[in-house]
Amino acid sequence: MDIHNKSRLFLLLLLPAILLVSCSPSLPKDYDDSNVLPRIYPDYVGVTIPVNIAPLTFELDEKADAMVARYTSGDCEIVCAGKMQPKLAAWRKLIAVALNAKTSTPDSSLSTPDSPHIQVDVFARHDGCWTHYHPFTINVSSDSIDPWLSYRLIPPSYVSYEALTISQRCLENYDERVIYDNMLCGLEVNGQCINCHSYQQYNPQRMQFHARQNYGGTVIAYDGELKKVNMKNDSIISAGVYPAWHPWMKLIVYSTNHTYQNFFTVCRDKIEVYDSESDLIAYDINTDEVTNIENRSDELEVFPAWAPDGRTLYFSSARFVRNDSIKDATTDVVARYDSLHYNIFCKSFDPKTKKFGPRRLVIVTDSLLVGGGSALLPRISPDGRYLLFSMAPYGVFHIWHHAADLWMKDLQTGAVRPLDEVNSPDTESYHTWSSNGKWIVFSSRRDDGTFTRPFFSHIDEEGVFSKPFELPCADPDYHRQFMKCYNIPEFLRSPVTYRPHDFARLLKGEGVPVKYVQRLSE
Amino acid sequence: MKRITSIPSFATPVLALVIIACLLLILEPHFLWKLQESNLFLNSRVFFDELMVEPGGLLSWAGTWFTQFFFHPWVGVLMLCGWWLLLMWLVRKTFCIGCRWTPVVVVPVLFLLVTIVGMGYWIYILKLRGHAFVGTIGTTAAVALLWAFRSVVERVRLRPTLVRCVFVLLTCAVGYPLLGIYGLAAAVLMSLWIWRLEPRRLSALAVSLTGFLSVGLLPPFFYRYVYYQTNIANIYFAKLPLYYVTERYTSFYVPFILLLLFFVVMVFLPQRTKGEKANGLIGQAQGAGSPFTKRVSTNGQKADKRLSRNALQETLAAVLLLIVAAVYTACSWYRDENFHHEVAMQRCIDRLDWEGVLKEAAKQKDEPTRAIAMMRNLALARLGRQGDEMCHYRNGCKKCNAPFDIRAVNSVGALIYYHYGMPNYSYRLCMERGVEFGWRVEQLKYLARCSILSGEQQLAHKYLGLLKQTLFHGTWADSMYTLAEKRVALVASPEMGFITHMMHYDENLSSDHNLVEDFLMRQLMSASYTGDPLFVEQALFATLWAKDTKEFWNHLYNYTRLYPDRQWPVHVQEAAMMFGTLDHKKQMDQWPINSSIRENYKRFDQMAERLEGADWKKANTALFKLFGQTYFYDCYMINFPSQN
Repeated sequence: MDIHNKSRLFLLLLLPAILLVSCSPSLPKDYDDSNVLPRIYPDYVGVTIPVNIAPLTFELDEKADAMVARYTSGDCEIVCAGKMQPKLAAWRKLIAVALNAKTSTPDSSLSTPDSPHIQVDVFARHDGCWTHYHPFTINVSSDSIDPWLSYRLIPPSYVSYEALTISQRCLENYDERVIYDNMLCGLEVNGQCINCHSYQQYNPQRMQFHARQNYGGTVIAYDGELKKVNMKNDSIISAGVYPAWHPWMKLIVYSTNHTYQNFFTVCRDKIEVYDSESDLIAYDINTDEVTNIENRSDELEVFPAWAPDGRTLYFSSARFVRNDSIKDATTDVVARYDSLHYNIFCKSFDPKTKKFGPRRLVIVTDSLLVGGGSALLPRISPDGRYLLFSMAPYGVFHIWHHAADLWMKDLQTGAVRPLDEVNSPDTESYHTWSSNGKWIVFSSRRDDGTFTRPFFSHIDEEGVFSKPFELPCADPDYHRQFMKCYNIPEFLRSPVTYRPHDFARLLKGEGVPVKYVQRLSE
Repeated sequence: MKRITSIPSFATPVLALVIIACLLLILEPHFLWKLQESNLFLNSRVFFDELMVEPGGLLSWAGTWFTQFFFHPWVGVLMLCGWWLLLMWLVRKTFCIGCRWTPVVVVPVLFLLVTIVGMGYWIYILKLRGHAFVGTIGTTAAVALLWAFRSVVERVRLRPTLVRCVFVLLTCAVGYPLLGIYGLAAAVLMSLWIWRLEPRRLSALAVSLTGFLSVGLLPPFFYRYVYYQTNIANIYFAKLPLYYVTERYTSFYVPFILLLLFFVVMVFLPQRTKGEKANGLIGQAQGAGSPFTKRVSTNGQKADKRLSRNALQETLAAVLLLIVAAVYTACSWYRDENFHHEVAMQRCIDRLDWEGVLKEAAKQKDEPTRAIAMMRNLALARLGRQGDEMCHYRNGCKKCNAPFDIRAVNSVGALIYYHYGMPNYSYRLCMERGVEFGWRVEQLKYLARCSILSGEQQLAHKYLGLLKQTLFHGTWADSMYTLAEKRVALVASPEMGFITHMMHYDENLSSDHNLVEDFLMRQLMSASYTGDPLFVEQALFATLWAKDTKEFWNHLYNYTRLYPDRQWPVHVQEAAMMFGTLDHKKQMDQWPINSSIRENYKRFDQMAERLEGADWKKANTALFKLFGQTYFYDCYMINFPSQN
């Protein structure tokens, strides 16, 4: 071996060693202790996480020359510098140790002493001096969360849209995949909007979404079979909009809406989205029959949702009596936009006869908020006990209402309360229960008031939620740079395996027309 | 002849580049600045990943990186010229062009120049990211691949056909994801070129077939298995600008077609062999190299004369070709007075150089667009001279000189709404445009500004955080952080202080229907707030714009109440004189209207009466001559809301 080869070999051996050292930062030896909790982004201080969640990454949310952080559980620790970005294997080990060890924290005020948790120490360097912030804990729940989350990625625009995707993300790591992308069927002028993805009981094989404009129609996938449905019919207001899959039947209830939007000159909400008309319809996947199930001219019905037993349908409805002196319905609504108060109703359903019963009031918002409120998006917990909904002073589209919060009704006791432990000063809107009923995911704009991010929260036996945590990303700064919103987060038991091009091919074909019937066939 | 050949072989192209650079810097400094404002390059993985979801993503990434240097136009031009120099050198090297034909290497550069300077109003709506450099980098990369292909053909002796086929296949397989259409074009040109480079027909056929099949089949393969964000209709045109609004504007593709034709001609011309190159038979001293040369004998005087004549003819032909291309470039160079004034004014406003805006307005010869009129009025408002001077400038509402429908809302909508204190509408416009045409520095800056004005600190931080990742706007972002955090600083700031006086509009749930000026003026006019003199003054001026006498009297009353000691501005006096006469107001002689204005109005009234029924153009000219700087003229002759 000549001298050149020797030096090459030396360098080859040295390089991994250098890399190894550079990846293993050490904690500072000299530092000042601080009683202040560190400001980190995302805010994971004191949150509760499921056992199977992807590694929580964070960065210091203040100016500092350097940051070192440590996750500790028992004798297992992870130390990262710059940003806290643990490797998946190390994180899994840490979680396992936390669950097995149930070590107590140095500061019992941080969490329940014997609850499984990870201790977090954050050190920041300012002007050459290190500060050790007050340690905090991340509580680990043995309740797992559904491993996949699907959502639509959409910029927070008002009228325009360009690239939209319905995507899915593995919550156990950072893997993100596209379920469908509208650019596959959209052209410059003939764009395609996609929305309202929905699944039957968290089943990725049974899903639906709508495509509007170019190659529009409703896509229904059921156990490997794909169908495009043309739901427009003269007997209903519009094609189906907000869907609700029956828990086991091949039946979907939709709202039908004439939706419009206008813009505020001053208000921070910027936009008001409203319906001038809306009804509820039921659609039978087998027979392609549709029928109206709620179509009162003085009510605006919207956001259907099934109870897990499949025998009760919940929905929101607002009383709106048209002012005959105003010709145009939209002008009429705009004139009274802040007096649109939606209550939550339910109606019985007989799966054998496919017959719906009369509506019954479940949530009266007048009694809950001074000046009235608007309760939307009813969602029943899998055990049927809780009704989770979104509430704001008025209107039908709470994602654009900064005042929107999550509320919950205990259907056993009848108690209704705002989820103060979950809500933020900003928007909380679309929400879903996990399949085991132990977690909820909801859309929140608490980061910046505009860009919706999914947050997760754990519910305990007493119906109390834990402090929510934001969807973890490989780079903790990702959501600050990302210019799209996570719209309609829905849990999935496993990933959707249909390919985007399968949907595109289907959409380019003709849709099956629906047949309007007075009553669905039994 | 000797004189001709003794000229340094690359002098013409370099000279051409110097001329191009000078022209760009002299004629288009504001346009170049606008190019970078309409661009965004972020130094982040997220940004890179977002661009890579489409074929040719790397090209856009590189294009956006270089475009940001137009922040200092001369730096951007230097970089662009650097790329063009490389391209010319590569073209010469790849196609072994001799010195007499060297001028033709400028031709593709001129076509690329046209794709930039011919943009005009496309600058506001073109979706291709990094467009200014994408064509140049893509073409350079494609030519470099051709050069490599030539080397492979000439040097690889082991299984040459197979190696060439693999090379062409790889060009397409790697070139398409990285360079989009430029990778495909390189593969197509290789498939054509091989017939000139390879005398064995079967081998050429194999390479050619491989190339064409790769070009035909690989994009659908990538469409099916790799990319989700491209429509099948566009897969072969990745990274070509889409000149489409409501229809396709094919004329804008001409420079790209000419560029392709140029290279097709190059690869079809007879090729110099490796032996010829080695022997220097067709080099600088001997005359032009292939593809443009014939073999000539060097023996004897007759031959010398023929050589000299041939050389002269070739040089003339090359120069002629260059002249034709230059003429085409000059004809395609978008020179529109209004467009250039608009861009220059936007740049002045960005620097808060209000006098600069007025200087630009004073240069106006043609009838201005509403965008120009609005920016000029804004500058006058900022300088507190609107009421006295707004009619001193050429007014009008000319349509933008573009083959497609483009309005003030596309060019200055966000700017105007922001400066007139409507952050909601400015924000909305930026968001809509960012989503539709891709995020740009300009939009992020307005989004940040609007968020600051609306008190949305965290949102402002998001946009400022993104801007801090840019090379040239980080300092601006830093300065804005202070305004986001301190309301006192905001109110005192030279940029936003004025705007805070304007944020007193009534709450309305409505829409502007893409008519910025009309919407803004009507919002001002209908505003009930009377607490801020600046706002009331603007509301009063809005009534002048709307020619609404009823609202004029209301706002004039408020104005007089708020400014009891101040003389009415000249144009307000003119409006009061005119509207008062029309409304048969009493005791007008007691109004604080200057006697010269009263006299002037009388003259105007008499002349207008005389011209009643006369040809509109003639009447316009006659009235403009005498009253062009009065509100009387504007009120009679300018139809403000017709096109904005």
